[in-house]
Amino acid sequence: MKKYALLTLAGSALFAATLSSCSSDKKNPEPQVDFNTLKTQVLTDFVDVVANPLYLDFKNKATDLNAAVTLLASNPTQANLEAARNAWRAVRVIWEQSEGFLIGPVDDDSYDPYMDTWPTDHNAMDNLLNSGTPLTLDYLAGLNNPEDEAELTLRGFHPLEYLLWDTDGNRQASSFTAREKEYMVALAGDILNNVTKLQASWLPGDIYFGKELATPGTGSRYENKHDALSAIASALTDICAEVGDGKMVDPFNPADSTKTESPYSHNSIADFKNNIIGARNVYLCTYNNKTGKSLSDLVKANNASLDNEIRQRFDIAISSFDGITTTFEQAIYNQRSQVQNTLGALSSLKESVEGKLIPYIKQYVTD
Amino acid sequence: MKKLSVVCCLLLIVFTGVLCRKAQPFPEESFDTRLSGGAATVFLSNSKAFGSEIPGLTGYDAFMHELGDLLFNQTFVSAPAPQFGGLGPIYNNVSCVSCHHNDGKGTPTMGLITSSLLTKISIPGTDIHGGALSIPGFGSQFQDKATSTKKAEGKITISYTEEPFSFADGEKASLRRPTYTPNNTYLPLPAGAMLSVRLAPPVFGLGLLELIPESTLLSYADETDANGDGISGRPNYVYNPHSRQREIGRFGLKGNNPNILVQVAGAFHQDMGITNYVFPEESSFGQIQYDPYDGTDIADSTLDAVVFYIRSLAVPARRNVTDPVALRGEQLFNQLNCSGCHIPTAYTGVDVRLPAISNQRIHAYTDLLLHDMGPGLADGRPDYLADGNEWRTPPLWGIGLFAKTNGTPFYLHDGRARTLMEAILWHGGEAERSKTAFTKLSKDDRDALIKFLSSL
Repeated sequence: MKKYALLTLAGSALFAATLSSCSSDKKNPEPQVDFNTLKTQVLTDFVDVVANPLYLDFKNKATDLNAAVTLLASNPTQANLEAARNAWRAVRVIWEQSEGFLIGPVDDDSYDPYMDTWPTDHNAMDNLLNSGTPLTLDYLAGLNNPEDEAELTLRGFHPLEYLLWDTDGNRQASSFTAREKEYMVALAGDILNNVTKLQASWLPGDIYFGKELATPGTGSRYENKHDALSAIASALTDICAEVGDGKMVDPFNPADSTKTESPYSHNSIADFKNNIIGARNVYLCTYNNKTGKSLSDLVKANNASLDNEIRQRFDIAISSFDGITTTFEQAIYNQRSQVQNTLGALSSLKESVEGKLIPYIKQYVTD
Repeated sequence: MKKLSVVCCLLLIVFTGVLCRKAQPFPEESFDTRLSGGAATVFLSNSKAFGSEIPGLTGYDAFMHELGDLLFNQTFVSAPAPQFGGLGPIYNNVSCVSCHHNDGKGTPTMGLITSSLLTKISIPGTDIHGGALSIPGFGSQFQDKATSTKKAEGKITISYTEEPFSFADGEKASLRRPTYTPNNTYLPLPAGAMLSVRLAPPVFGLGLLELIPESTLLSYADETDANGDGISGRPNYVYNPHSRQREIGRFGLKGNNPNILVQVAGAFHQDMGITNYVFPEESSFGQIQYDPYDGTDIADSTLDAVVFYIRSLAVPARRNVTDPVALRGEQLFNQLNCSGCHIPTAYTGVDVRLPAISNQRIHAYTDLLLHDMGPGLADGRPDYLADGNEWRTPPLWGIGLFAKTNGTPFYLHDGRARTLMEAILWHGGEAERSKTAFTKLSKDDRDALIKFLSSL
């Protein structure tokens, strides 16, 4: 028996040697990274490759929006209105993608409600526009006295969306009143302020959340790598749930288009799709054509089929949005099977992430 | 035949032996100490640790939970509105989640969008149900916000004085004592107005607490301190406007609410100005800013969905249960008789609709009774049977996760304590003995106790 064991051992050693010589023949050998280093690198790369560049983009796009809205207010032509709308859409792309990782300051310091509260309060907006209250950034944000800041429903993307599109999506540039112009400038300025603060909070400074996430332990809100990695993975589940069990289902089940998120611009489908693209970017650690060590690599190290499954389900969910060929507000009445198809894809994606990715991290990342 | 009778005899002995053996409680060490909420425990320790549904919900229940979750997160706006109208006219915040951040404890500021403090107010005396006497023109809660055509009842300014504390071994701590001053009130506040400032507490695990039998709570009561341990817990009894009965108070920081339904309905009504089937009149009823009754702001099923959501929130599992330092801390917690009020283990009653919370062995670390906490923590405002010095023992489960769910953690009824150490040092009254004993512990033992608390 001993002989056989020895033979087998020798055989498998030979086999292993052959295999490893095979892989070294490849043109671009992957640098070998052991699992321990990989865990750390997934965290640092997430911060350096995805989060920080995305937030920088977010700030740039918010700066563009601020400029476009200021220009529209001073020179209200239809072309400038279109430019402001495009700037609004462009900043929404980044914001929705950033919702693929709602962790850290955006969540703990309430940036989300400051920028993305829904619905808008029409009575309050009308009263505000008809009043003599100075419609300044200071009024919205309470710069001098935080207790004076305006209510969340008067701030952020959606009141601005209402001004740029109006309820019927048909706003004319010539129709803006002086008060509306003041209000839109204040809104864009408030968004820019919040995005700037949010971006800075990931960088060296008072908070430096990027470091907390990349180097968990003392001085971080994450105790260890497992804690930090599962926070990122949980954020993926959260966004799948928010889109698939919330934002889409809420108007879809009762077929009630007054419950959709971006009803004035009819941007809801793009919003949803960008949420899931943002989540995939997190999983693959890729942003703007740059890539790094990802959760995908981490999973592949011990369970290649799970990694395949998750990547496939991301792709299916994202492309399923293209099946909906009209606005979401229309689709919940006219394209219910297409919407249902997306909901199904989101549900199986969530199942893989929540039911397999998170347990995987629990099993393999114990430090 | 002889053989048969011998066999029968032997069998009889065996059977008798079996029958003699009485049902024994499952031995203590056989329980998994991580299961703080019994079957309603989830193994999560991240920022969403307080927001998970109890395991094993049926499809319909999971749907209701999800619906309640959306409504808990939903921002409300002023009426009339196509969706989610009914906010105000006077209110403290616009959604449940604005105060109960991540279903947890909030931030101790007032009047800001992210603020989680509210102020209960009253004048001396009691109303017809024995509750606190409302202030004419203000009601029983100070609403510091209003919709755009109305006036807020006023603002409250918070200032803190730092009071240094030194342990015998030189370790230092600083306790910040708050002062709350109302200003800019829309009407003059009467002399003798009493203020009780309270921080939004976590909302998970309440389904379990609601199911602890009243007899269990009464068995903890020791109003005359017959056992001489300095602790004399007693139950609050409060008016339930839904059942129109006097019932034991379990929720609210002074045990001032009987159940989850009245707690949630009251929060919609007073904190957000949203009328519902339990409280159909605006919170501004009887005040100059009253809007005539125009039906309830939310559907009955909306309130029920949020109530179900709260009832079906699971408890996060305890962590570090084998860590020797944390275990040493647990020993000290019992030795110092912290466990006298923060009773570690209780059993819930039966609710056949939700097996995960029914008949469970839980570790909430509370007796849900009122205790005199000394002048340092007193709010001086009675609430039903609770006097100005008394507070209801808050559960400690999840207390080690506040930093996760809220970014910056805050402790005690108004969030004055910034660390668990400060929170312990604020204890007085019936907890004076335990607190003093804590201050006499060695540094290692103090750290161990805090490590234990952090594991909850």
